[in-house]
Amino acid sequence: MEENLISKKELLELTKISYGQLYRWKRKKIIPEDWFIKKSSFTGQETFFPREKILERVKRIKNMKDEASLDDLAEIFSSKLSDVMLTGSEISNRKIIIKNVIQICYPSENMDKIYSFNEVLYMDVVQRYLMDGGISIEESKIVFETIKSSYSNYLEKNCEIVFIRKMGVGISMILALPNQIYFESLAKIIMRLQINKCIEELKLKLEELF
Amino acid sequence: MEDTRQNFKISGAGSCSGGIYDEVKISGSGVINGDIDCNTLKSSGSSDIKGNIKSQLIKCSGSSSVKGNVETETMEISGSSDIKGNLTASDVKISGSSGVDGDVRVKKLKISGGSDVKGNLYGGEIRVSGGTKIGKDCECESFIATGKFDIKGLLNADEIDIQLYGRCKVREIGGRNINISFSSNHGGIISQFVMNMFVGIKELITDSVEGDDIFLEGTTAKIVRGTNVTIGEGSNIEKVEYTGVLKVISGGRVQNEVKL
Repeated sequence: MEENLISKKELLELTKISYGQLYRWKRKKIIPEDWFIKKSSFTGQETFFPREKILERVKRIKNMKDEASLDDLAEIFSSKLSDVMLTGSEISNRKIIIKNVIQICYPSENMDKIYSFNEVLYMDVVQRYLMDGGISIEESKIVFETIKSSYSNYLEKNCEIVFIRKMGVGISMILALPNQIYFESLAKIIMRLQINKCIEELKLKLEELF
Repeated sequence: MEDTRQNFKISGAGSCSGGIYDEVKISGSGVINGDIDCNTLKSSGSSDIKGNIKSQLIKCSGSSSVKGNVETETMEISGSSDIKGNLTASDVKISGSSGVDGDVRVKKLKISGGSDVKGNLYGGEIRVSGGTKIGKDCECESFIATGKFDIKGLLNADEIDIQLYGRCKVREIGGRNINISFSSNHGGIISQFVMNMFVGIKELITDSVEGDDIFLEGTTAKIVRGTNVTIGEGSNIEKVEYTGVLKVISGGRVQNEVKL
């Protein structure tokens, strides 16, 4: 897939940030290493970035850096899982996960159960799937089981959750990114979701609330 | 359980299989065949550790080799040491020679002997006055060098202050304040003279320098990009792209300048 790229020079011009800032953000890992794409040019090498992603990231860093320190930002943007613990009622009262989804995922638990960040993340994924409307509640349980049992293999790596359906039968799977997959024509991709994006957004949500 | 750590000493030739200790002292030749977890490790003879080391304080004045990773608060090397894994520490002083095959993560690092890091070097404050080789990138808050160095990847620091001695090489330099100069104000006239006698060439060769405030002497680069750029004596730059002010002083050479 040919991504739309932006050169470092153009990025600095467009966003009005300086080399010093950019290199500092790189050091703090607020901008992921694999976004720095090297291409050869007449000066040896030129650095490019995925256009959409970097512009959005820089905008967000600029918006947030007045309130949060760079280390806090690094924490948010890293794919490391945070160590918050929340009870079921806290999660639903603060509208992180709606009550129904908690009950779908953990049917035998009451609202006082304490959930770790991972567990909230799993429910968040399920919620996104259900909100999207492409899958049924039964199928959402498959998604939940998949991520719950397999995500630990992908810790701190980027992966995506894919749900496909063929002739009414749904299958969910986790794939490491970047990847390329192709299915037979009868199979339909219902939804694919990048886990790092979910982690990032969930952390932001939690950051705002606490 | 109470933490009852024992001391352990090798003063002739000896070996042990590793374990948890308070103080470990090797003053003859010692071999440790497994992982070791101790509060202090002092080696003044030759030591050979086949596992990982976890410690608060490590002092090596003889020769030592470690097959695994080293994790410690403070580390002082005045002999020669060779680490095959990664080194993680908050304060490291190297005045002998040292080699690390993996990555080095430190808060403070002072190298006055020679050292050779094959992986990446991540740190807070890094001071180099001996010869240093880094196989990949060097990322730190401040990089202060008065010795020779060779960095195969990117040198990325907020403050970069390099006083040239000998031939320095870096693939790329990026940061906020970048200052590369011929050493001038250090020591008296005589020590200057002696230094100049022994160190014939003083130069830095790199592909690109990118920063906010850049001052370059003795630097050969294909491209320099920055806000305020000063090109001084002995510099030869193919292209400068700047957004603020460009000054070319005392015979610095710029082939192509572009104001953005």
